[in-house]
Amino acid sequence: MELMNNKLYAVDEVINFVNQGKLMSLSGDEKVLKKLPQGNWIAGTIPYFMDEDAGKFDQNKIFVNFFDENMVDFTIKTYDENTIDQIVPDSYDNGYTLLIIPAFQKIHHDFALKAENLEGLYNNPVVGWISGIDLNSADTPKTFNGKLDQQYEDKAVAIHIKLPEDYFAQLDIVNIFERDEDSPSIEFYFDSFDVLNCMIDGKESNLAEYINQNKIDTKLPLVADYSGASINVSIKEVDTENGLVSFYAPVFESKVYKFAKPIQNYLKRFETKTLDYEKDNQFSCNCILNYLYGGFEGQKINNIKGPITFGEIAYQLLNQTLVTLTVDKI
Amino acid sequence: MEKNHPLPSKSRQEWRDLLNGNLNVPLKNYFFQMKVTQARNQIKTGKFSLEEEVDNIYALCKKFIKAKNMDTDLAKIFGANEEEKNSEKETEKRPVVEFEHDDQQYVIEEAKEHEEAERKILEAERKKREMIERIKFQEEKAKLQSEKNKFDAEKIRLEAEKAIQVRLAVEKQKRESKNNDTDLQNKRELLTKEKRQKELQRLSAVKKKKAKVVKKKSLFGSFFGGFFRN
Repeated sequence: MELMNNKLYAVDEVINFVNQGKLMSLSGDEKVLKKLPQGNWIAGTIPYFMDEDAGKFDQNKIFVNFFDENMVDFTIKTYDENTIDQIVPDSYDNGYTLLIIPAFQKIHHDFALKAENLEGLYNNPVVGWISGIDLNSADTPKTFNGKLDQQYEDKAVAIHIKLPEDYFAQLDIVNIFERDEDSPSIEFYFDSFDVLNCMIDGKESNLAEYINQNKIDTKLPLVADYSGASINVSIKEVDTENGLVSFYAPVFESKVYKFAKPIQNYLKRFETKTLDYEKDNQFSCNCILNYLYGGFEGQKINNIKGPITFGEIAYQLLNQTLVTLTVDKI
Repeated sequence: MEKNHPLPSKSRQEWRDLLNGNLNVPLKNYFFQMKVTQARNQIKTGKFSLEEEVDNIYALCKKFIKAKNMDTDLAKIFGANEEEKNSEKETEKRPVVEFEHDDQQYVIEEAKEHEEAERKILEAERKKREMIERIKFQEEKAKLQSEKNKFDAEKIRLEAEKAIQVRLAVEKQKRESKNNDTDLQNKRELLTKEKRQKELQRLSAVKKKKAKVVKKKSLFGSFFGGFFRN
């Protein structure tokens, strides 16, 4: 499908797009998003981006993802923790859903824990991201429903897109990590963002102690194998005093995890993995941890563009992963 | 498997092997990877039956058949058995040796004239030689055909053997996978409900304790405390 250029735009330009009735998914600092008039858009707060020329921190511009004008229909919706299950039945027979959830809130945790078991989740791609803040501020992550002229701290916003019969949408991910087969196998007692004890190679152990004693690099995520897909869970904090490990996404009881293989050059690895990255995808976003650990600020990495996020959604919540959505003609 | 290859029939056993974990092939397509994982989990927890999940994944694969890497994933799942089938077909097509028989009879007319008779004798002898050569040629041809048949039969046998080995490898993988599942099951049995409950209570207590400290910090400081610069 023909796409307009997804990139950072000045606020005045974005206001023009809104007034022209363009359907958009936006990302930017809260202060600039607040200036936008009512219209066909949803947004989430974040001031970090991969723009056309490089990775950057920008609180004055807005990153715009345009939706193709050939689509058949769309709806814009707001969800709370009680209605988030509705994202699947609310979607069209053929299309996709773009979802933005504010970080740290109950809805963030609820979606992450529930998503895998949502009935019909795989009927259409569900793509999206977790909104965030300037890391050196005490701001609160927010989402915006432009149609209703509302902003939220605790609600998710979504655009459901209906595609023509002869088009289909597909999701893909780029994960630079893979399981270290020499790592012990780690299993958890229940689905959770926080862990005290777990089974390490079949033996009950405290994970915080294990990480500390074995000097595990906490920039490396735990990785589970989903039928060939490496799915990361990144470590947020290791509290040895309380024996508690917290993650940026939940670990699941049904999965067996291993630590990721160490990476020598984070940035170079990312460049290599994204060599065939398509320029004209409908939407893409990348993790703030990749941006920070890989030193992406000021760097151009192949054709990667989009908001830098506090979590990525590709059917379910992911960490340290680049997510892309493309729309193709059958 | 070629691009746009029709989806293998829903009745194929491989769909069931894939979803009940007896067939473990690393897939490439992201949708397929996630859906297979979810389906296996749903079957294990009893949320859906194997046949319900086969119906579900079949319908979705049909919808996303043109998605990136779907063709190679399907080839991986159904490829080994396709090879087996082909080798069965080749066995059926085993060539049959055909022998040609020429029962030509020679009648030598008595020559009225001696020269004529001699010419005819010479002619008959020439024809006889030709016939002998022809028979020899036919015998040689039959011999070569027989050797070719032996070679073809050997080729078919080797291919069938290869197919059996592929099948054995798949079955070995299935058995290993089952053993791993059993190991996993044994481990999981250790994790009794009681143990989970105890762990949840401990976690809740630790989180309460930490919440008091977190209240004093900024939201951001708590979330990214480990690595960002202040």
